[in-house]
Amino acid sequence: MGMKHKRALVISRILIHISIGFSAILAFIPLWYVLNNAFKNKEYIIRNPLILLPEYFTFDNIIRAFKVMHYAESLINNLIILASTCSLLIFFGSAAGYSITVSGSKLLEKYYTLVVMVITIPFQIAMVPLVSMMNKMGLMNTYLGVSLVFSAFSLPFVIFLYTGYTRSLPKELAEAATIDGCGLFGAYIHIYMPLLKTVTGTVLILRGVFVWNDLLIPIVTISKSAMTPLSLRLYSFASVRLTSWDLVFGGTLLVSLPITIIFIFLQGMFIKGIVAGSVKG
Amino acid sequence: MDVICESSFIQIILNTLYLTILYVPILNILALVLATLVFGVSRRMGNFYKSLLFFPNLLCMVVVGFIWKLMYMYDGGLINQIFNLLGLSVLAQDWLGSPSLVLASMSLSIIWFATGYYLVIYLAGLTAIPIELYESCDVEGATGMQKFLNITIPMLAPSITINIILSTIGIIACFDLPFVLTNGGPGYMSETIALQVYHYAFTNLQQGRSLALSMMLTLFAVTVAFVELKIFRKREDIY
Repeated sequence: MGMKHKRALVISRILIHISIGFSAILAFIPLWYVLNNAFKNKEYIIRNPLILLPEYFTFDNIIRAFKVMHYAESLINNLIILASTCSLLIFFGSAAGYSITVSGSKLLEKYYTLVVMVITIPFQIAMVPLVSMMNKMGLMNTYLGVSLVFSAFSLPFVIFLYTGYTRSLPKELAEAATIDGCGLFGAYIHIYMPLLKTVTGTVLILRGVFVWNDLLIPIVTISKSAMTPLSLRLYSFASVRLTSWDLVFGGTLLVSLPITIIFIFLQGMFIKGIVAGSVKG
Repeated sequence: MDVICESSFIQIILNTLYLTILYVPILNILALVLATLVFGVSRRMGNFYKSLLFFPNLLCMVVVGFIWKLMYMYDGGLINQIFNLLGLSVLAQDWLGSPSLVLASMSLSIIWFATGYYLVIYLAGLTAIPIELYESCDVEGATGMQKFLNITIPMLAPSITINIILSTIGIIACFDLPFVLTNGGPGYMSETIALQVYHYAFTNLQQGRSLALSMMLTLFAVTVAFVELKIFRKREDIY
């Protein structure tokens, strides 16, 4: 009996490894498809899509895609939009969370309920009025405009996260700080912000990835091609060159490169961030 | 009113519904099964698989769109090439060009993109289940399947609720990937509400219609999510 049980356990172990390994390979194929073909000439891509031999190897696609896309310019656009959106989100999100928790006012409490309700509403509903408003205010085709739209769309969720965490902190913290002569704003800067470091990390990861990758918001707020971020740049680059597979592969690889490098170094943080964001949600 | 009278309206609603039905259950079952498998292997291997399966989720949807667009190509696309190589050329299809397949193909690529995210959430739920529950089951001599159905699923109910609602809202409002993959084609066969809102506003310049349809989109997403919340909360109570 014991032997039989043990054997069954071993078999189930092996089955688990086989099935997960197989799924992992299936999931990896599309990634490998890009990774190896980005370094091949067009004729080899068609002939041998999944095998990379030394004699196929070339940097030519990547270099040409880099030049045609004006990759560096686009990367800088991305960084500007990311940095300004994240600073807006962290500042306004934490300040709102702090004041909702500390003030204890009924009105802010109602406001918080409203904010939570707005989280699930898709961006599309605000799209048309937003664009016409931005046109009137001269915010179209400006970094400020894009960052404001990104922040406005993300703020409800960010406020929700910050409020959740500030609430879990003991209420006496703010009181103690005011007694010591810190002032409400001082308590926010010196006591709450350091304690909220984990939330700030979660916000940076969750919203940072969204801002970095999103297509819809740039496509409706930016029409000047010199200002487009990577997502939109790749779209306009590749959709007119669908037959030049070598260039499309080179471009997709280039666009995925920054986030891949960051992920390799910060894997654990990304996964923790997702969990923290979803459990609270 | 104009929006409803448009001949494509019913088609668009049906497409969105069909895509949701093709996507949400398959995605959640797949993510749940993979999460239990990842949970079952050693910690180091588990982390490796988790990172690998999660990685597509960090890619830009435009990147994902173009990868799959090339894989789905009729001539020279990877999927048809593999079928030809295996001598199964009968199975080769115009994956994005055939009206009956386009939504399924689209759903598959979004599943590839999203599974890792939902897997991570399920995995967090699995880790939180107290091990004593399984041990007491072992004493009673329960099989693996019984344990899965009677402990894992009920204990995961909150994660399941969150994931189903998140994935439903996600797919209904999903714009980037369908836009890159097919942009609604062939004809209106893969046009979803989210795509049509954009097309009304920026291709046809009919802002009023776009706004009306975006209201419907929101209503649609919120209603479906609300109904799901009711159903699954009730189930959570039963357990």
